[in-house]
Amino acid sequence: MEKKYKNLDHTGDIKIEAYGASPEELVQNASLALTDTIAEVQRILPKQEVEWVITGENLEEMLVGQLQEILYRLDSEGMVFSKFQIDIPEPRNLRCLAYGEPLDRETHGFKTEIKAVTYHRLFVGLENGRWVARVIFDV
Amino acid sequence: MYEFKQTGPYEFRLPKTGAMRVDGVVFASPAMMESMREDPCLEQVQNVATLPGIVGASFAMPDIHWGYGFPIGGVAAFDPEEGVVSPGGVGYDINCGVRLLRTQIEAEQIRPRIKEITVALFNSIPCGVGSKRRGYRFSDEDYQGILQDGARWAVRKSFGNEEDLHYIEEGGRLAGARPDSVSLRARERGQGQLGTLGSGNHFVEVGYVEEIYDERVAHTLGLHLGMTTVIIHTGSRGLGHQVCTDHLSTMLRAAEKYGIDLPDRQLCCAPVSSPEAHEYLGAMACAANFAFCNRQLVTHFVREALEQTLGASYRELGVEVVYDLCHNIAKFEEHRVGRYSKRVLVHRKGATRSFPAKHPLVPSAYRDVGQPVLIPGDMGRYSYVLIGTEKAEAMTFGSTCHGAGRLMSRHRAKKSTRGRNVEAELWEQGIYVYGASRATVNEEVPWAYKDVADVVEAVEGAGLSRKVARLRPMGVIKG
Repeated sequence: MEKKYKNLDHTGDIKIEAYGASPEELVQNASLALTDTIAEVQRILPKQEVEWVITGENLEEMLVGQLQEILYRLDSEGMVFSKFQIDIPEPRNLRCLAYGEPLDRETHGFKTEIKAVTYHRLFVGLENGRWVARVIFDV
Repeated sequence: MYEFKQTGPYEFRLPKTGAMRVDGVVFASPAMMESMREDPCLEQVQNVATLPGIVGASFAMPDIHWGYGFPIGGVAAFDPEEGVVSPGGVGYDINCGVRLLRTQIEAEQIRPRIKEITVALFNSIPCGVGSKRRGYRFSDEDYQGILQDGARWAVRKSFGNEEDLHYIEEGGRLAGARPDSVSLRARERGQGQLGTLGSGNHFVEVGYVEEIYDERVAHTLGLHLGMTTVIIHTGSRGLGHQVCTDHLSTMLRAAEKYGIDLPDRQLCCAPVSSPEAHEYLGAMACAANFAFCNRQLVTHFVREALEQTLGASYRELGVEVVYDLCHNIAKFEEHRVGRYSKRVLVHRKGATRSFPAKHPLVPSAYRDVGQPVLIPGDMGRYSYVLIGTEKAEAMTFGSTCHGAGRLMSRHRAKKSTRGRNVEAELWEQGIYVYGASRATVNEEVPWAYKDVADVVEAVEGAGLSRKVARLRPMGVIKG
């Protein structure tokens, strides 16, 4: 099975690399990658559905906006998500249907808190025919 | 390869070249500097030196490491008329800082009960979202109070006492807070997180004074050998992180608007006199106050836990604030520039204020000796209490280091713990670690960090602060 994402080495913080056959799949896998740095994504049950819209000038902005939304939802509503349905109906509009539940540190194998999505060495684009994103999260 | 020359036993200069407006000055031992010769954090020191209105030099402390825009361990002061403010010069965790509590409890008295006390602290102090115990929830009216008044609000609500406020930087309340500049999103991220510790390198540590280097100063700070101490390390939580995120976007546009050339977009900034800067500084002050308030609430929970386990009031136990300081902040301060006293905007990112004796902002009880400087190390070794100096005032806008800095990535740290039981190893050394997450404990192992003693030796060698006491951990809680 194609790898969806992986962790890269970074001294102070956390760096992930996500992949996708399409921009939508890339955003989906980057979302899973972020969630997987916070808790064990496979332990999160997709019980509740939440919908949101992200706007941005380009895919990079929308991807960053999506990841920031995940952090916002966690802090403000206590929610974590294990399934993301991403749709980019127009160039500057991303719709997300996210499925998850309230975070329980014990049940979900809490790993760490992420403070922010940084712009450092941010890459979102095509590499060898597949969509790749590299993002560093501030811990 | 970065060119630098040694200009003092612990001082190195990166000469002004290209777009740099001032030199870079790094305080470090020769060995540390040599190991940094190809480290991109030095480029960050140079990049900061290109920003308009920078005064003096672009400084870096011995615990320097690579950050976002500004290096961590970076200090830079700007002229209020010609200079800029940059959220990257403060960091995401606005007013992440350290508080030291002293007690009248002898360490040997509680050592047999350290596990019980550590677990009591863990149960008393919420870690953050998803933990069993929630953060303190508050009304909109309270929120205004928290953002405007910081620790003072907390004391008004009976979390601690008036006396505590004398021993907090800025009296626990940074002036100039503008709650209207804090976005709804930031407020929502902060609600439910007040009084929470957070994760990563945040902690509460019960320890003791293991060694005293300066009897007179230690006595003035109320510290003596064998005394139980508590260190609290936490910041402004989701509110601060969102304030920084919000204003980074604004500042990116502002830098373009004001024609500021950025060697790195994470140095995005705006002129201090601009509306964008006022908005950021107003929101930053709110986040700083949230953090002061946070540490005040955590202090209250520490006191409660000690009262419950030791069966005496916190006053009887003598649990008092030694000092509380910021290590991610931007503040207007008066400093000597040339022959005159001048108001400048000092950015300290992963750096601590270090004011000398007689300075009016040092608490009156400490004015004879200077401002305490609290330098936490990793959970397996030690932390230090230092005192501020005139040399720091003269050389670095009254600034010094803040901690140890990571040596190893989180991934490598976790890998290095495979097949090992970190908690058991630390317990063999007499340190009980109780964490919300095994992953966090493994990422925060002592060997993932530089030795803070080397950092302290360098700042003392450079004259930026002087050693007063060394503290050793007994019980540590991690979020």
